[in-house]
Amino acid sequence: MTALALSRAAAEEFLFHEADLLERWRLDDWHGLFLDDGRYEIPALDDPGGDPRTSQFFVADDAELLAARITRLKSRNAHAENPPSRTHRLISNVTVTDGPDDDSVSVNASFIVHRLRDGQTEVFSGWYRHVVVPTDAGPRFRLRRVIIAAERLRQGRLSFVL
Amino acid sequence: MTAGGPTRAAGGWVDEDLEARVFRVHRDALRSEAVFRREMERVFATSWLYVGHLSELEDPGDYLVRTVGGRQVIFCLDEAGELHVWLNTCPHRGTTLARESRGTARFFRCFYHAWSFSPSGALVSLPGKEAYPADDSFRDRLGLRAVPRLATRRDFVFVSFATDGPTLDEHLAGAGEHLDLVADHCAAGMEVLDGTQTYGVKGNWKLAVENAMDGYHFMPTHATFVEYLKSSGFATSDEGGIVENLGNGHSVMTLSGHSGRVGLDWEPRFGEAERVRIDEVRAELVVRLGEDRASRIADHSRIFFVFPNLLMFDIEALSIRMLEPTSARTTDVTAWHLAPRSEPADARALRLRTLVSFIGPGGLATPDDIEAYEAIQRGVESTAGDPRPGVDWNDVSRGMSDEMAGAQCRSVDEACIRGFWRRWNSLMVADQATPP
Repeated sequence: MTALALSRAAAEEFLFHEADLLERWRLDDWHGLFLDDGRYEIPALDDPGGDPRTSQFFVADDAELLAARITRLKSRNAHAENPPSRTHRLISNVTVTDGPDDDSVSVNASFIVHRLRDGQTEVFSGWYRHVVVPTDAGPRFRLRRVIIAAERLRQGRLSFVL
Repeated sequence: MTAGGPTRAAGGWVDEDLEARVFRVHRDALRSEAVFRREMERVFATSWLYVGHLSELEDPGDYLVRTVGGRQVIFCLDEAGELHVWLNTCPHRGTTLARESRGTARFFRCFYHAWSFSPSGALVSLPGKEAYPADDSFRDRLGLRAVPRLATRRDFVFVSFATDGPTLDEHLAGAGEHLDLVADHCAAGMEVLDGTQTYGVKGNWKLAVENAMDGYHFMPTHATFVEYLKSSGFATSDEGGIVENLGNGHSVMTLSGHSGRVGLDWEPRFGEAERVRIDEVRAELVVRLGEDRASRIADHSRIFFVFPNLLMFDIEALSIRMLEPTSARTTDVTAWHLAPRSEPADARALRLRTLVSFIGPGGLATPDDIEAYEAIQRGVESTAGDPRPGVDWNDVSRGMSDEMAGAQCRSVDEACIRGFWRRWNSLMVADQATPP
């Protein structure tokens, strides 16, 4: 498929909408942005291009684990996110190119996410390397991959959605 | 013992009253920079420290830069394939030599004055050598500096910054056999997989040890993970779990109520193909090692601690976790996934998927552990310097009666946390002239 199936403006609108949902902790609505078999991945810092079937990731959610993650985050017993982190998200450098499948596009972007909790502000920066499928209902994630730009995570709780 | 202050009485930071069945740890042990400096000298500079697994290095010249015990080292194979651990510093004027975190080196070349060293440590290039003595002894004296001692146990590599002391096997005591059990999972050996989890936590390193060896927290802290396991048809309980102290501060927790081990102990969530494969793996284990040892390897999940910096999670799959204290209040954690060398691709993928759902900063369980030790780190500030007796102390007494009666200690008690603290405290106070 050609990149024209999703314009850069439409891709940006999709990512900005997603950021808004995450900032407002609207996790079910966020979950709705995934295809039924959509994945959420954060690879290890030393293997950013790795395959979760052969490399240890931080997050390698298939549909079942993604649903479990959201169920967990909505629970009062998700101690690492109770109270929930507040986040502030900047997304930039958005590009849309041909995707790995006939029906998808690659949506790449840079991000800076501030995470506020426990009286402290942590900064996470990096790149989104998403595979997005345009559908009648709007763009949907087949793969939402987050590459963190860091040599070591300064704060070891990726319990919120990055 | 009196409470408070950096001048702890000669007994150290642990107060144990056997008659009253009370075991307490003074909170300065978790908070004080003076204690941190002292433990880097008395614990980390004297003990054997885990540095890596031999499988992480494949070819001659392969190297990895690691920080252990506060010192940066080069963990490498030389041109003949022999293992070395060099201090990452130029013998000339001190520059770090290896400046990438990993790679394959024909030489380690110092950028500052271009001295070059072979991976076997020899000074092989000395620019402007006419200004130095011509005899070989000068070059010999300025080769790479090794860690004082290096030893391996079944591909697990340890270093010691003390020039003498117990051998690695003497240090490992009963923990050595648990490393052997891990190494015996596969006849072809074990290997560390790609993808290293490296992260910092805002908590004292000893809180990470306490947490790993604490079965008491599992149900309350990990309620959401337990819910997920139940919903995926996996039964878990803390019933029947036991702990043992293994000597020298090491300990093991054996969990019989938490089954489901990829390649070893089948659960419905693993699928039919894995059931067939597990039967084959277990049959091979029995032939190779006998019924008893095969059962010890396969039947139960185990978490064990090798004092002071290595935690091994031999659970649904295998995770090696190394702790590196960076201050009294912060710790760097590095976690590797260890797996049998010979394994079909689908089983490898199942192994990774199963463990990552639990372990690590993005898992469904570990973030709540980190939350606990960071919350403790913040919490213990509240009582700092409080002069009232007993206020600035943590209680670690659970299950002391069983322990003192010589009964089997339960995983939901605190016996191995006490074993850890006893060992730590004995090193901290040994031959002590003046407390910090």
